[in-house]
Amino acid sequence: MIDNVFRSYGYGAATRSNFLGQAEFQDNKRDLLRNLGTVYAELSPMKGLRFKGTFSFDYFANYQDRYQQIERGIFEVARGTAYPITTGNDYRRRINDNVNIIKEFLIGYNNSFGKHNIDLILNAMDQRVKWNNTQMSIDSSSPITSWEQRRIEEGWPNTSKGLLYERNQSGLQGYMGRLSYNFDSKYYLDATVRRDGSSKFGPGYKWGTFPSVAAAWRISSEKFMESLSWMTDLKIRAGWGKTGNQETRDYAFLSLVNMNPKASFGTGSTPGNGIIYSASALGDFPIEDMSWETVTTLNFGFDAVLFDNKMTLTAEYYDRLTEGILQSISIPKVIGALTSPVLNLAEVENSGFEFQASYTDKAGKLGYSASLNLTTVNNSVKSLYGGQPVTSGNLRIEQGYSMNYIYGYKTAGIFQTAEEVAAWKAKTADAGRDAQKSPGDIIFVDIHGAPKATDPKGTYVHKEPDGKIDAYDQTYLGKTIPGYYYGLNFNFDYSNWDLNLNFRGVGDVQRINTDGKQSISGFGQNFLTAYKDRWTSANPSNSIPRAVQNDPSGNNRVADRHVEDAGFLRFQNLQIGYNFSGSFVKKLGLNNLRCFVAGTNLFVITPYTDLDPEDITTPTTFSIGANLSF
Amino acid sequence: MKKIKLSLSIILVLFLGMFSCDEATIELLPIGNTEGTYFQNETQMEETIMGVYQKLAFFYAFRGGQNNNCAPIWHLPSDDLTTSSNFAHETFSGLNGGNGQLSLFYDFAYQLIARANIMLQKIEENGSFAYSKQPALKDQHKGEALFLRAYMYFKLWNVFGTAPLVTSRITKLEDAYPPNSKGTELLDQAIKDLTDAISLLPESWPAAHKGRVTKNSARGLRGKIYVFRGMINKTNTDYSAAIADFNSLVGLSLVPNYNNNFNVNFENNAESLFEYQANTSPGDVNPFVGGAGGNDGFAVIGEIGAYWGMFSQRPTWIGNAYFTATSSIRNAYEPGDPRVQYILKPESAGLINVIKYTRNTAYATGGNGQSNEVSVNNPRILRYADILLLKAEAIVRSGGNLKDAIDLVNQVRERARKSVESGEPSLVPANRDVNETNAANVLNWIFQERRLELAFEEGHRWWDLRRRHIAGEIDLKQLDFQSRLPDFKFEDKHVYFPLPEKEVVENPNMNQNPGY
Repeated sequence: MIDNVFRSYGYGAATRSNFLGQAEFQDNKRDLLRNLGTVYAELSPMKGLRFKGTFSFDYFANYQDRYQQIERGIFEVARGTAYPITTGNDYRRRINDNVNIIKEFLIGYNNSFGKHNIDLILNAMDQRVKWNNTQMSIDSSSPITSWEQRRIEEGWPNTSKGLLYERNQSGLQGYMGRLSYNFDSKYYLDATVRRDGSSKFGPGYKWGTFPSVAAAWRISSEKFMESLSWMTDLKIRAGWGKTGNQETRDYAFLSLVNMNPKASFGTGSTPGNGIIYSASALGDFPIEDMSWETVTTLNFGFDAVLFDNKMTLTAEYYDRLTEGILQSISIPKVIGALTSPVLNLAEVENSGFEFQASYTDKAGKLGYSASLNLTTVNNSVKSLYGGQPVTSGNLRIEQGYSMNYIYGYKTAGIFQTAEEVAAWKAKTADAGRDAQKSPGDIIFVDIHGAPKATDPKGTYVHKEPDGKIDAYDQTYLGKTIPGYYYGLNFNFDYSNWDLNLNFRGVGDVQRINTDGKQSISGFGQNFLTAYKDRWTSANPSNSIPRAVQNDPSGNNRVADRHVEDAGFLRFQNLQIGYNFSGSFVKKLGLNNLRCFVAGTNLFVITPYTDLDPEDITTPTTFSIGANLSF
Repeated sequence: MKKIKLSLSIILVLFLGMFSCDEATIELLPIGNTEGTYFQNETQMEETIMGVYQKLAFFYAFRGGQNNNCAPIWHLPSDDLTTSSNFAHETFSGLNGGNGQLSLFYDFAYQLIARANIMLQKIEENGSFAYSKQPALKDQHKGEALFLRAYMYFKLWNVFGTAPLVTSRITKLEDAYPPNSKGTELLDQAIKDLTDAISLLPESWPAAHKGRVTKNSARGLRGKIYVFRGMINKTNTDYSAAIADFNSLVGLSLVPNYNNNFNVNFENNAESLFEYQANTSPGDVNPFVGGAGGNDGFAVIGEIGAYWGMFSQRPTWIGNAYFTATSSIRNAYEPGDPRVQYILKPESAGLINVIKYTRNTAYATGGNGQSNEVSVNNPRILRYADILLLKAEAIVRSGGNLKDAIDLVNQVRERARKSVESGEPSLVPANRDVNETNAANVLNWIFQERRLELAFEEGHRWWDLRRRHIAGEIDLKQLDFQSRLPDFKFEDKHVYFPLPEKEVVENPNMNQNPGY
């Protein structure tokens, strides 16, 4: 609407859709209905012994209605006119409903025998999840004229109606036993065994057993430590355990029959059409032995409390080995599958240290505390299914490297002269991208080639230049898992005022950023101002390639020039509060009244040049508020 | 005490409730068929073979965008068609292993082969009981699967030359890294499969199944592949085998009007050996799961239409990505050749549109028609005129009687002359001189006639140019391709298109074609 007049021009080719305009002719509504219920019965027939049965039921339904009018087409890119009247105003209703039923039975026993304290738990669990999706729609021939009139009538032509009803279900069963024991609050021992079965895995692979054991020794409770009065508490601990993960798509271990195809033969009712026959295809390539992903963790460390609770110190070494990571992978096309199989892809080790320290004290009326934590991560892929590296986009999983490392080309600046181009072309071929190679294009470096007959069997790449720029020339350019995480937290209070500052950060991590670095082309869109500095013969840039239609020289291939350090320090939280005190609070009928001003994500310090090294949608927020207690 | 009793009973109920389910909770089966429960009877086996046919749709259907449509692979390389859009199949210089259409073509070809291999595997495993009511179907299905697989090998050889040969269903990942095929291995296997198919297929199908492949389809395709292979390997026996195949065809003839081969009212006619059965996508295809998100690749699920939009500048919102005829092909027709009116339509700015399958939009579009680019007009994959010219070629190449060969060319030319919509037959194209004694001249006549007769169908022109270049008979570097694109540059390596880069790089046993 322009000046209250309906104008149907302005949204044709080379424009953007007007979402506000479209929204005028589209109604959406979502209704959520959730019904949670848990009943349990507990019985304690003798001291320390209890039985507990729990039944929980979670029903969740999501109703979505959408009504669209033909006029929405006026505001659509490359359309600019209403849809024909025969398209009709369409209406669609979707109903998703989920039922999650969990039954649990627990036997617990705890007791003390002198200095021996034991706590035993046996638990059995059975979970069943059912999911239904119903969709119905009416498109052309719908006489619906308004949102209020939405409905689908039995008598309307079937050809204008859509109907879909899908069902899915999954199940999980588990048994768990845990024994906790301590002697005189000095020696602690915890042992757990879980056995879980999942419907997501095939016969013979459904069950996983996950034991764990942990031990601790509170040294500070020993007689010989009593002389160290500054040592409030000291505990050393060690643990080893396995956990399992079953999260993946249902029935990935099975080959399903896809009934979507159709074929036509013979002569049908209208010229050119035949008789439709139903058809089927097997589209899956199931890896039948796929099973639980397991994580085996070994850790040891100590926790100390010093100087009358003023200081705490924790240090830990951990080694976490994830085996059989459940992931779907793309498989060779010669298989002819339609879906990607899920398999136990990789064995990945994460190891490192975790440190935490805090100090709390008072200086006169000023109370303060500071805490600091640091975690180091050494991530390495130990083995891969079939030894085969997996590349998706520009991230690669390969043995001996950090998981999902950045994989791309090496470059050596930008061609400045035709002579440079000619000299490069004399030595190097860039198939399909040579025809328009010219000054202003990126210089790619030939580092590797296709495996040669002389290479050992199964070699994926020959690590010598071969005079060609191709996929073999891609290499390690950076890692996407940070080498360390850290956090800093400060609290101050003075009189009625309090202040909290919280920082966190990561380091030793890289990320791909293509903004402001590409060969731009096309029209009808905005570009970053950085492109004012792109290569032109008058402005021999060495970082931004020339502007050229369709990037015929492949300048935009992800390369080292796109990889940036994505470490950062973020000012995550700031809060300043004031506690009102005195009779004034009491008069209001309150126990306590505190007002505060808070900010989150106040700034981030990073060498990364795009908006945010983590997530560009992270907002900066400010809030003011009050805490009241009665 | 009463309270305890009550609680006890509740617990007992819960306890029993839990363990009475046993492992049923985790022994679920999906809703719908699984491989283990399927392939049990004729209906399911019939659905399986239909699924093999359906994959042909992926080579012809619109698939949501010009860049996902496979047609440029066989249309654009020749000197018959060009485009102002940036297609590497037009420039050659832009070809590399990252080419999207080639990657899709490769994907679909092996999907079809996989479906055929599954059909063959299931006939082998379940054939003893799955065909108890209709035993004759078993051989027919086997023949159809072998035919369709052979057709894919033939296509793969024409596009890549060295694509891997996969002759059984791959069920283990370690078997999914086959080496390149060598020489004419793909053609050799196609001939072998077709030999079996000829013995298994029926001579014809009941009316309701017309369009399924027959003995004639297999004889014709095998003969064609013999001619291709004979030329590459310089083997005379292949030509005599081809001639024998063509002679064994039963009941085929040239239809009276040339244009009936492209008219929706004359599908699967007397001239037809093999067509893709384009159809309006059926109403019972689920509209929700159709569209771009369909899990049978990118195409609309169940999509069984054809697409001729690259010739008709539609849909308009795609921009100018449509193919126009070159003046080279226009000038190749003698003025007055009645075929031209059914093929070419000059437009402004000197561009020439191709109207072969779209001359009458009423028969080019399907029921749910223009908006989703579905045409019901069958692409004619193998027709008798092609066979006649191949037979002439085989005769000449094997040193046979030139007059016999020229007679075959003249049959095609005579039908062309008579292909007027009304009135007297045309005088052109006149018969070739039956007394010509120079075999090279006759061969040129044959290829000229193939170009004119089969223009813009199935990439015949490019496959002919390509095989002749490989055989050393012509030098395509000397040919004027009349490309509208400035980057055009043909080199010898381009007769073998690049294999999809990802497939090559991730398969240590497979090499890229030379020069890419």
